[in-house]
Amino acid sequence: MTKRLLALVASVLLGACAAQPPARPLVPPLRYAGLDGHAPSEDAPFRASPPALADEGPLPAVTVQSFALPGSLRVLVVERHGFPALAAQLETDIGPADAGDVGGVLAGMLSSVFLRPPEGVLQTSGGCGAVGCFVSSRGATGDLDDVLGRMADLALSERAPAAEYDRRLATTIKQYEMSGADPGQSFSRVERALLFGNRHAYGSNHKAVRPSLDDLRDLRRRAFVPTSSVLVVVGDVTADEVKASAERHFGSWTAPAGPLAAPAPPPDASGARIAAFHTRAISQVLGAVVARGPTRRDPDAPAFQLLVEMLGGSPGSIAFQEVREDMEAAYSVGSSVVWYPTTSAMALGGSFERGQAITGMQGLLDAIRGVRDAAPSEDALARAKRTAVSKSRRAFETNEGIAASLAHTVLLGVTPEAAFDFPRQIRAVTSAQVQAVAARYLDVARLHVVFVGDPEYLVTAQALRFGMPMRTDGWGERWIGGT
Amino acid sequence: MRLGAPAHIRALFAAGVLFALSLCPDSEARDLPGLSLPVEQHALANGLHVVLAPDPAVDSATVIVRYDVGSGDDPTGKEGLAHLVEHMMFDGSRHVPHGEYWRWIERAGGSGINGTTALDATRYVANVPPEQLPLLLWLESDRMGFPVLDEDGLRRAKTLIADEMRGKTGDQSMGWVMPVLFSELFPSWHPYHMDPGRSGLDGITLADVRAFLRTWYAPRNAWLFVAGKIDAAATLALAEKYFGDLPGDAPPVRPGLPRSWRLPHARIVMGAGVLRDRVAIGWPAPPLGDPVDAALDVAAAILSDPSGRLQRALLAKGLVVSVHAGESSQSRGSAFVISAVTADGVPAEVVEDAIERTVDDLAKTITPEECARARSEWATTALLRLQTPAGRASHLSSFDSALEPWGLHKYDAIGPGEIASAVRSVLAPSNRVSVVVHHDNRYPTGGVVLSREERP
Repeated sequence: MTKRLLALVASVLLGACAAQPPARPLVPPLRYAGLDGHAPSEDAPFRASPPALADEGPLPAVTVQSFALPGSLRVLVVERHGFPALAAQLETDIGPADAGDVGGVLAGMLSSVFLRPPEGVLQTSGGCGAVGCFVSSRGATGDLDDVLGRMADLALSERAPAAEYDRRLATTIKQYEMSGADPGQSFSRVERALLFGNRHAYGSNHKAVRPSLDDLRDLRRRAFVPTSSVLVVVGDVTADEVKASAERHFGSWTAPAGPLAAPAPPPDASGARIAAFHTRAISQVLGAVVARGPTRRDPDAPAFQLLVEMLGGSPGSIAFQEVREDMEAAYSVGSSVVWYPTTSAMALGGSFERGQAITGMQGLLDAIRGVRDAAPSEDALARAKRTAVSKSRRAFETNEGIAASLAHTVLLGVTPEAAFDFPRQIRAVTSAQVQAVAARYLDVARLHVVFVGDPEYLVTAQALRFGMPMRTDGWGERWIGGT
Repeated sequence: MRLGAPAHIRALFAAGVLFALSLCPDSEARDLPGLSLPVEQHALANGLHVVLAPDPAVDSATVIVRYDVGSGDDPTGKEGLAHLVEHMMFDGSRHVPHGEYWRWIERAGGSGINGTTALDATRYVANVPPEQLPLLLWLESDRMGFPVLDEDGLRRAKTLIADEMRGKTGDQSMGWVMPVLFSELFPSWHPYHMDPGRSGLDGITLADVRAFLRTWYAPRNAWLFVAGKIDAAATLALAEKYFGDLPGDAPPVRPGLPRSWRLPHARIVMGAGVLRDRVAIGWPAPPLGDPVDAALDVAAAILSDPSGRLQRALLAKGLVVSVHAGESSQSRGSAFVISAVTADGVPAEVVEDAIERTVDDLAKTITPEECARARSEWATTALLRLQTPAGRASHLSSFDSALEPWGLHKYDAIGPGEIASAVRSVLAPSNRVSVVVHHDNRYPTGGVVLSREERP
């Protein structure tokens, strides 16, 4: 397919070039001069081996101040006065309002329609995922009142012209309907459908959802309540300034009469262990191994995070080295954990060269089996720990990074202190603990495999011993049958 | 031979930068707070440029090594050579066996490891806890001085790049549209000219790679940027220790290029297996550093405001589902591009006309408020990007930083008049190239050129 594409493009362009005057090269051929002059001291003692690693430095200390507004909105403040900027994030757990089985889809649409800033509103954004909705904004020192005002406008009111919301809804529904053919979005949907089913908010996928604006307004009215929300402000501000400004903009936001019900945990994963969405719209094959893990509050969480890091979180990780560097089966290999209030989802995947989709997937499964069968080496453990801690530290380098991370983690039921303590907990994990969580959560019976790509390259999928692949549509909703 | 003399310091700039935003001449002024971030620039005796941005208030250090060579310097018939060399530079060096580069960085708690090949530069970046900076500089110096190149690494790099390019072009909507557009915007003699139907990857030999390295990967053609929690004097001493004895010739002098050129008013029609029709319109523009290029940056920001002119003219009227404008600023020439995804049933020609009318209208009716908002948004974004060592090193390693250390005053002198003048002189209908993509499942997602015509 690619050769045909290249040939067609070439023939058209070469034909076009032939009609033009002869090209006059302005850039001469490069001068391929040999090295001359002096030689470097490549055998000097300091070059023979790397400088000794320094001891790990202390983790940065973060102090969180907390208070509640009269309407019950919880506010967290992290003062950082080293840079003249600030950021804020309002995060709302939509789970209590999301009991209906189309909640996840509606939340996504809600964000596209109501959480996009109108014209002229700068540095502000909003969105919704399976767990919650957020509105964030940022600015320079002195912008606090503008920042919180912009957020309150976006989260709690409708400032754009009415026709704008009609237009946004029409576009959102259209794009949603068309996304069923999108390989990347389908990949993510099928993953979640395998893990959580397609009738739960974490995994909900519905082809035919056409809400009205009033449906979305109703969801917003039910979901955006201060008792389910947290406001985090980070940067060059004081807690007193935040309190005064937050009361101005969010003080009249009141809680509903009674507490909202907590969302039900997703049912046990069942049904297909291997699924495929067939499409010829991509030349590579997307593939992943997915599994459920512990909650972020579970004592296993640090070891699980480290395990996922070790498997595919960096270029030195097991799967990256084996599948990309040694097997050359995929250009990109990676892993991730998504935390939900009642569970988590791990994915280890890659974009495979199509002829190597099955062998590449076998490489990923072998990497998991390796960690299950034997405790990782001290070197591999140390590298993974330092990489994981480094990622946490980098996420906390910016005001907006701290605000987003803290707001999201707190809604998972973790205390602010525990959120910042996670890197220290990761440093304390042992090799045996990593192997233990691998055995507990990544036992072969708990793993699921997802492919998206040309079926021609998936015909040997049974070699993976996950059974006959189930064919699904791009919504993870309709099981079509075997490949 | 060790060039161990004390570094020849050329303090081109070592200054606290006071940031005070002024707005368009006709608009109300708004002040942002002061920002003091010192920058030092030095040159070692072998020509390596060293730029340091110390800040005790942050928690990490970022190193970027930039070589002033990119895909615009690929020899004819060897297209892809610069990118291939970038990949092979991760394969190991004399004192760092294959695969150990990643592991050493990870043992040090490093992250953000990457290599990028642009038209004019190739960059290697990594971030480490500040106490591990010596290791990172040691690794980079070994890579600069003693890369290990072999046939197996060459073959592996070719495989990975072919895979990478398939993902970036063949599998992405609009994947081939920009290469096709750039093949028209930059004539065949221009170093940025792309030929989407041609790849020199297969024909590249190990001798080509070695020659390319010797020609371009010399200290005299390289920059070392270090930003973060560092001691400037100690870091400079480390740079001298690890890089100071690496040799290298001066790089070739590139010939000058015309500042502008006229294009045939070309229109390309493509077919692609995508869900909707697409339109991309481009104009060649003056290079980075030219005042017109900066004015076009602001013009693009005004057009692309989330609910601004293009949104009102196209999205609000139901002609498109998305639209974006941007100025791709480069050292040897820029390109102004507007791209859109059409709505169902809307002919691409209607979208083309609407874009053209919107651009023409901009030159006539730009307001001080629009200008002020675009500049304010840009300045705030620029300020916030400087929160991290990685953001600072990234900015310093851009060619923009040669104009002003942190680039915070870049648009101070640009008002409605400058923007209107730039739009009239550069974004002329006679000098534009249009690429129209019709959705058709018979073709691959990345697209195939079906026809090309030149309009009078």
